Formats: sequence, C-alpha cells, structure tokens
Amino acid sequence: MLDGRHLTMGIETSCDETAIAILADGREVLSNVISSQIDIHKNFGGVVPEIASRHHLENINGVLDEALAEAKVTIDDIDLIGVAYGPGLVGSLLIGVATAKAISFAKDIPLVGVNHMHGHIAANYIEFKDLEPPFLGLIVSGGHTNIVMVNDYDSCEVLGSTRDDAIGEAYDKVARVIGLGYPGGPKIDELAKKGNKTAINFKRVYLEKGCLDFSFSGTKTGVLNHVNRAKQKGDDINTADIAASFQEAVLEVIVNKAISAAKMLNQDALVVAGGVAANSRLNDMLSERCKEEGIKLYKPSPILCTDNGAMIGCAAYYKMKKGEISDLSLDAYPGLEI
Amino acid sequence: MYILAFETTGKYGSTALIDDGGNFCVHKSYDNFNHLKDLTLLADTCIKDMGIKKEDLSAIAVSVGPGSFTGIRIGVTTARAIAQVLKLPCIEIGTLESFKELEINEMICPIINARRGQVYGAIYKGEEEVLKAGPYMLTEILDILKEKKPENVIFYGDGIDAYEEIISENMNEVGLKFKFTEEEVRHQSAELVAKAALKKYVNGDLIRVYDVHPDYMRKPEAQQKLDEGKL
Ligand SMILES: [Zn+2]
Repeated sequence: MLDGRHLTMGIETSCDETAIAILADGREVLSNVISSQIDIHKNFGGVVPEIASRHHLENINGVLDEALAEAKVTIDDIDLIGVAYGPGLVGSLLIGVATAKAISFAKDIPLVGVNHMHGHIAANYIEFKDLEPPFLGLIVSGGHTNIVMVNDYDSCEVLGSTRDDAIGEAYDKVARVIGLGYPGGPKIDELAKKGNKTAINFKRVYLEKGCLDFSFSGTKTGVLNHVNRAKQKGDDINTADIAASFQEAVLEVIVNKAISAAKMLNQDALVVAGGVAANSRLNDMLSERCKEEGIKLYKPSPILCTDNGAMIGCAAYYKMKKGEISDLSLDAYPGLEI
Repeated sequence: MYILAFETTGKYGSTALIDDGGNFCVHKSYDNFNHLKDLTLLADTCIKDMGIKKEDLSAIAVSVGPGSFTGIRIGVTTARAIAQVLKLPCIEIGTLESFKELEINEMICPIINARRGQVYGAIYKGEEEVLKAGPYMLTEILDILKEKKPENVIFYGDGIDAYEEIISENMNEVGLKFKFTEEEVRHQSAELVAKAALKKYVNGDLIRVYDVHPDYMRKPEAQQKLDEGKL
C-alpha cells in the first residue's frame, strides 16, 4: 500500500522482452520498465529461445530494481504480484514465473498467474479508464490472431482464430523473403509507406461465409511466388510495393472480419490488442472503417501494445478482485489457451 | 545464522536450510524435472521445518551448474530474486564441486551427461582436485582414471545413467575397482550445496545478487554456429 492505494507488480517475460511494471489501483502506471532483446536476436533472424532465456535471467533483477525506483516505492509497499505464465516460450516464461514466486515466497505477497493474452486485452483498461467488459476484442500479435468476446475481466470466448500462421508470423516470413530481416512487422510497416498498395493484387482469404477464422499462408505463398517469378524473369523487385500490397491484403481481411463480427453481435465498440496493434496501416484502416460503421475504436498506445509488465499487472489486479489467487505451485504453460 | 540452499541442476530439485552449527534439513522433489513448480514450496517447507522466519536468513546459496540449462536457470533465478528482495548476500557453488561435501576418502568421479559422448565431470580425492570441473569427452576422464590407477573409484551423477556400459568396460579392461552409486544418492542434492556454502560463509566468500551467474559451460548452439559463421 502507498497512501492507501493498492500496488500491483506485473512481471512479463514470455518472449524476448524482460518487463516489470508497478500499478496503483490496477489501472494507473507508476512505472513500466521494458528491456528488449531485439538487438541480440536480429543477428539470428529471429528469437533464439535458449539465448532469450539466458538474457532474461541476467536482466530481470535490474529491471526489478528500476521498476521500483521509477515508481518511488519499495518491495514492502507491493500488495500483489502478477506474472504471465503462458502462452509463450517456456524458457522465457520460467524466468518471470520463478522470479514472481521467489518474491511472493520471500515477502509473503499474494501471487496471481496471468494469461499473457488476457494481459494484452488489459492494456486497454490502462489506456481507457472507463472501459469495462463485455466488449468485442481483436487480438493481433506475433503468435496470435483472434476475434474474441471479452465477457469479463478474467474470461473471454474465442470467436475466430488463425488456421495456419499468426499475423505476426506471416509478417516475419514475408520480411525474410524480401530481405528485411527481423522483426518483420515494424520493418514492413515502415517500407510499405513508400510503396503502392495496389501494385500487386495478393490473394485475400476469407474462408467460408460468415466464418471469423483467418488463413494467411496463401497470401504469404503468393508473395513468395511473386518474388520467385520476378527473379526468374530477371525483373527488378520493388520491395516497397510488395510490402504495401502484402500488408493491404492481410489487413483488409482482418479489418473486414472484425467489423462483420461487430455487426453480427450488435457491438458498438471494438477493442484492439497485441503487438501488431501498433501497426500504422492497421490503425488507419480500422479508424476509417469504424467511423463509417459508427463503431467506437479502442487501441492502446504503442508502448502498451508491445509486451509489457503493466498489462500483466492490470489483468492480475482484476483476477485478484475475483478471488483468483495462485499459490507457490504455479508453473509455466507455454501452450496456454486464451 | 541460516543459509537457504538450492539445487536444481539435475533431475531432482531440492532445497536445504543449514545453521552455523552445521545442522540442516533438506527437502527434495522426486518428480523428474518439476523444479519450477516445486522449488519455492520446498523452500517454504524448509523454513517451517526449522521453525525460523525468512528474516532470519543470512545468505542464499545456489548450485550454478553445470547441468540442465533449464534447471540451472530455475535455481539461479529463484536464489537471485529471494536474495534481492530480502537484501541478502549470495553464495555460488559449482555443482560438481558440491560432491566433495560427501567427505569420502576414496577417489570420486561425478559426471553429468552432456550427450554425444560428452560429460561435465571432475575427479576428487578428499579435498584434492585430481581433475578440475569442466566439459570433457567421457574418454578423457576414463583415460585419467586408468592412468592414476586408484584403489577404488566411485561414480556419481546422471552420466552413469547414460554411460554405464562404456565406463564398466573401460574400468574392467585395466582391472580397476569401481562403484556406481545407487539412484537415491547418485545425484546432486541441496544439502551438499548447503554444506559447501557454510564453509564459504565462514570464509566471508559472499557475493552480490548481480554477481551470481549460471555456469553453463557451453554456449547456446545458435551462438556457436554464429561464431563459426555457419548460421
Ligand atoms: Zn504478446
């Protein structure tokens, strides 16, 4: 407690960001420290799990000190520890979980295990102080592409998911094909601004009528074929046009499906979450379509879209409010479902 | 004075608590590689067993490897976080060195399986280091034993599980007397870490949280490939 306010520490290590935040009363961010390993993993063209795990271990104590110092609190002020225990890379998750459990044990602070994906949704509670469930959610990230109905702070129902690649994976693969390297998402987004989005008509995959699932592998293969054909003919490859056209194709499907879900379910709001929510073109398309359709759009600022401790702390706070406390037997679940 | 000690580098995770008189309690998990789930619970049991409070702890000790990379990380991460929030010094113990605390007067050879004919191993006779802890080919270690011709050699560690036959053949070939320890006492365990830590504590051999590092003894495979230009 600090001046009568409840303090939550949120710990997040599910992929390549070591992150710890301190929140007051669940929604106010006092500190949000993120130590990224992107510079290390880009040498390998993607996240190397063993290396990520080693770096999390070396980073986490410093991140913890920094998070407390920045919030101007001490560990004795903390009332609750939230930690992402899945989904994610097992070697990465375990550093956060082991740290959270160790602190909980040493200082007798209650512990709550949080689903990383619920954390992404919770980022919106921090950004928009009045937002409350139920609402329709769109989760777009490196490992996930989902349309969900968020029924409560701790529960959501999946209405649609990808049948092959997640949107972030598709971006990474296309980035590799056109020589952009890792991380693919931000690089394609940047390059696409210089390209013509109607230059190449890549396939838009909608699957069965009324279906909210996604499939991106066909579009990704389309890019691969386009590049190979051009190489065979000795044509110049305009990577900016490819980036813009690819991005337009996949984002158009995502936006159309999210809007039709809102109409089907009579929802007047759409809440976007996940790393890819920081994509500028997705933002433009969603803003435009939601305005046309009279749907209110919620999207966290970029710092809350990437993996961070604040979103985990917020989700933990609401789980605690529902009485869902974990104990010291908490384990990591790399394949945890939404 | 109390030291809490962790051992998670092998197949069974364990925690021990030792006082300045050398009295200790130890709790083990007999589930294979369930360290993350069990470790803090085992620590909690130790604290309750000895009837102390966490504020009574004087230092946190941890076995830093070699061994299972994941196991090493669970122990080191747990130890570091506890020491950090309780503002305690740490004590690093090498997994192989901890076997010296068995205080056996014969030659002992702890070996940890590192696959493809490789082990992390050492050879000790009492306090004497016949072979320093490190990554070796199993055959290198066996050759040293053959050359030293001790009266008897006792093997420890999960290297036995992997290489029992090869070791037996080699020892029999030169008529060396040897013994494989039973499963229950074969593996690294936290009371050995605690005993080694007590000695270091008495000698003032304490380090800060940030100076506790895993001793993997091997780079990640991807890093090796990158360094060799083969990525
Ligand atoms: Zn994420």
